[in-house]
Amino acid sequence: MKNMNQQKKRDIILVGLLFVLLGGIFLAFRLLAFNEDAAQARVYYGNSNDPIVTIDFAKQTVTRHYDQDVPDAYAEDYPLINLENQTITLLGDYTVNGVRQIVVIKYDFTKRSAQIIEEQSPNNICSREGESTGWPLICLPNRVRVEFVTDQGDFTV
Amino acid sequence: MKKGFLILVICLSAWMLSSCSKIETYSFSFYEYMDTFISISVSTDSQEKADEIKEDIKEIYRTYHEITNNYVPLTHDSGFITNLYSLNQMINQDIEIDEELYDILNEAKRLNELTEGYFDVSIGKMVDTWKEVILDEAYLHSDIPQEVYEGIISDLEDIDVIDEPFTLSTVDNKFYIRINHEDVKIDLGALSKGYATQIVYDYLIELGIEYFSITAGSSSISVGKKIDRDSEMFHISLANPVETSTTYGMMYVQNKAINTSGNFEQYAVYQGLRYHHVISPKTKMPAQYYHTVTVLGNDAGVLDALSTALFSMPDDIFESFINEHQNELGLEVIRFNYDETISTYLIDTVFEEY
Repeated sequence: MKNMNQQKKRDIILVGLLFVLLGGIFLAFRLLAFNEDAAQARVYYGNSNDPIVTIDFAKQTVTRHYDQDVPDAYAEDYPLINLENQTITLLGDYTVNGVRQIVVIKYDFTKRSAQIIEEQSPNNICSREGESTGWPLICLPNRVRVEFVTDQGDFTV
Repeated sequence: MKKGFLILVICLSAWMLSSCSKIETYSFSFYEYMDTFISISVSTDSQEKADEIKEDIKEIYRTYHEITNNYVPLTHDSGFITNLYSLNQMINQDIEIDEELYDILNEAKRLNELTEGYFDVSIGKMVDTWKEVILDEAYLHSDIPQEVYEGIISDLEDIDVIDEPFTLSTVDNKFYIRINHEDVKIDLGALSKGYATQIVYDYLIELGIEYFSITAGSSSISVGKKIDRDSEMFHISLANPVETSTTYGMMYVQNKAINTSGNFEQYAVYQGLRYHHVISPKTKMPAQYYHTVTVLGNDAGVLDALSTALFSMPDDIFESFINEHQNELGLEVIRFNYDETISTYLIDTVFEEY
């Protein structure tokens, strides 16, 4: 009888430990999988949903993820990242006399901001938007966009 | 007893593992339609399903882009009868149109009546007159010279707001429109994006998709539930129209459409006031009552039109419209006033002002 009680007690402890362990794994999975991103600005080109460049304001890094696919006639490898001037240059889709025009994004780690400082388009809407810390910058004819990942919200209207 | 515990543990483990959903989130976007960047995110169970959804949604936006296009005629292979560009050249003639265009124009008429004329798709000529100046590189976000301003006012005097701008009819299951006056230019820019977005929303709901978001430009968003958050609510921040790099509040929503009309993207300044592209049919002028009007509700098309109409309503008319229609339309409003105060007309949406 005494042995039976001891075994029952051990079983309860074992099951309890298993619960704690599984619960811990479950919670860790949830936290790691769905934790919101740190403040970043992501630069996209074309219809791709994969950022071509990520500006991480928290880590103060700029990461180029892949090369922009541009015709051989264009000598540079885009995107160009200039860490000294804090600029990122992409080749936009808007053409002047058949030549695709560049889009220059200036970022600021301290202010956690980005701004389109150079682009060619009919109304220059995106370069006129000024410096943004959350509002997406969308250069429509150039098909270049900068989106912010912050704790301010999923979208801004 | 021991076996019982083990079975219980195995069952619980299996339940925990099975609760890890197989649903994945797929995102896609379009630049080609309605002069805006459209971005969709849907959670579904396979890449194939996501691809199918993408193509169907693309076709919805393409349809409304083509038939409501006001800048160029249809291409020969578009598959549609005609579009707004061509219709606006043909005054006092009965012209056959596609059912989709008939339906959206009928909705525009309904919304014109609902708003007692504050939403009017027939004032395209007035909108063009203002846009010509506002979007001019010399004046965008800058001052308009007095002579240019007076030139606009003079041009507007020659354009009338027409009571019955167009007539819709059906004969033998064919659909027709007749534009009734040369001052009429139909511009569906304040309806088509939201209208198409609502069709996309209804399509996703019909497919049983629960977790999704649709952004058609930054001013129009429709959402289902948020998949990666326990509350399943989207957090949507509101851009400050005066200090444009900041936000002034956050709202928490799911299964809603949200639309904003504002004066802070495309405007020029005259005597310290912003002149923008939301033109009041009552005055032929851009109204200066509010900086932004954000509306929430169940129908993105209706909201697209209502945010435009409310933006041009003086405060007393605005209030009486809300009092009369809030419950019937499930309409909620957050308004950023010209004096930089915030007014809210909410039902159950949680809004936090910063």
